[in-house]
Amino acid sequence: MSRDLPDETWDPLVFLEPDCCQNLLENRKKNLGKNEENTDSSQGIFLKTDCVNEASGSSYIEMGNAKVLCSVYGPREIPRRDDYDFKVANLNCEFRFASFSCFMQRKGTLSQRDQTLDEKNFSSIIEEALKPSILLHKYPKSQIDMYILCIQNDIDSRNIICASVIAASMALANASIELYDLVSSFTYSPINMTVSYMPQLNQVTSIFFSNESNGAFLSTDLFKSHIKESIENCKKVYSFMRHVLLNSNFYENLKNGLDHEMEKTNIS
Amino acid sequence: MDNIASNICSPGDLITTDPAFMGGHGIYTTENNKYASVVGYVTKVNNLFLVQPIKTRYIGDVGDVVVGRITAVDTSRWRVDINSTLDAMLPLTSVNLPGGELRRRSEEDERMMRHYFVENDLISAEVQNVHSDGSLSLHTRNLNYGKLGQGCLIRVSSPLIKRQKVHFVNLPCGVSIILGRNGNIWVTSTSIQESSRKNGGFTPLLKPVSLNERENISRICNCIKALAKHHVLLYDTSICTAFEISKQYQIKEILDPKIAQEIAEKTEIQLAVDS
Repeated sequence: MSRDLPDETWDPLVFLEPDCCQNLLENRKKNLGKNEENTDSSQGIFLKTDCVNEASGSSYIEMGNAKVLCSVYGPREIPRRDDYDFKVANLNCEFRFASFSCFMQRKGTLSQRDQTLDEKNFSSIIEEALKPSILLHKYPKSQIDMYILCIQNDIDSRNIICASVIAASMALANASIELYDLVSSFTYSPINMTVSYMPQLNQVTSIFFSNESNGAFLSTDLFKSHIKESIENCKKVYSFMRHVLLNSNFYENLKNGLDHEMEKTNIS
Repeated sequence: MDNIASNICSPGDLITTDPAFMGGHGIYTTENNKYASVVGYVTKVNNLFLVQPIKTRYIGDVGDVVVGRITAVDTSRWRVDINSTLDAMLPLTSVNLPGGELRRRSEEDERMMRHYFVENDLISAEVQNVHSDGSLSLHTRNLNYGKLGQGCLIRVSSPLIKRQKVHFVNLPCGVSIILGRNGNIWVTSTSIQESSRKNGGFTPLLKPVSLNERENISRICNCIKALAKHHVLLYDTSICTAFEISKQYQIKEILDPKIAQEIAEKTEIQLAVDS
């Protein structure tokens, strides 16, 4: 229902003083808990890399009800265009919902229809979350393409940004594109806020509130504690991401066979 | 750093805080600390640290033999796709034209470019130059290099090709392979390779290949695919060993995952015994 609100409306609780809205927030939380499942990442995450043969790197994630597949192509040559900055790589992110993924069917195959407004919105959010983690200056004049496909959407799309950022980060690492750090993400369910965080560098890359979030009337102290809690959860997700990257079958074969060969290789 | 025992690292892992060490590929430096930027093996050579990722785009070096596909014909050069970050360039001046090597390139030569190489042709070439942005310049100034005609192309990940002195190998079974350092391997029969050398490298030889030669070529192709799947380094000895081991199976059976694994494991054992 709240999805159909026109852009100009405001939540009436925005206009209240901070101290009187605390009770209202508690009530809303209770109501939310009754009607909708708590589908945050505490339910368990499934991650896999190397799913798409043709891509440079790929990954698949299941988080609650959300299922997202990400494939990364690149870095590869871009056609000569004047509007690109040639000193750094160009990052192109395309997010799509499969036609069967949402509650309401999206008509037409992916190639037949243009990106809808919400898909374009998600694309730019995910790109913003991931851009600080890539060493773009190492790949001048090239383009890195990320194609993110949502195979199953969860209620309200609350976990989609989170799942997509994790999947995209894993796919970039799988493609051996140089990164400062992996980006992990966590959605704080009660206020529907998604925080993307790089643990080794201790930097937050993006904080996203969706239209349905109730964060408009938080006090700064409450906001800070929510962010801290999200960061702690991001660290847990990060250790899991790292575990999957280093212990995939790929590397188990190598540990047995390739160890001594790699050391003998002449590096000039 | 907790993975240094098993040597695998992921992006953002701290490698060292000692400023005396240098950082090579796959490492970025911040305030004297060196961190890994890719997933891969950490190796140390004297005082150089580097991270070797398993699947990566080809990073060129001068003198490497590469096998690539022409993607475009520009004004006085060809663009070649060699599975790298950027397309490589093959200038008209770096190609042996019929009529002598030292001839000056005229306008007529530029118009005749399509008679030599066209889009989608496969060529073998050598890297002449590496530019600052990572793109490569190639040359085919040798009878070894040129257009490739009849044979099979196999694409593997570039770190699997071991750097050798010779990349044009004639195997004893009558098969010639070109181990391109960019991960493209060209498998053809020795008779075709020898004949096309004499012609100068522009017209691929279209004489028929006998059944026996074709069977050997397919067997070698399947062996290479089996070795690549199990990350065995590819060079003449390893491919020969795999070929000998695979003789007990039919050619199509080598594609079976279990048999492929068996062949790869036996090859590794054999290589370890021999060295």
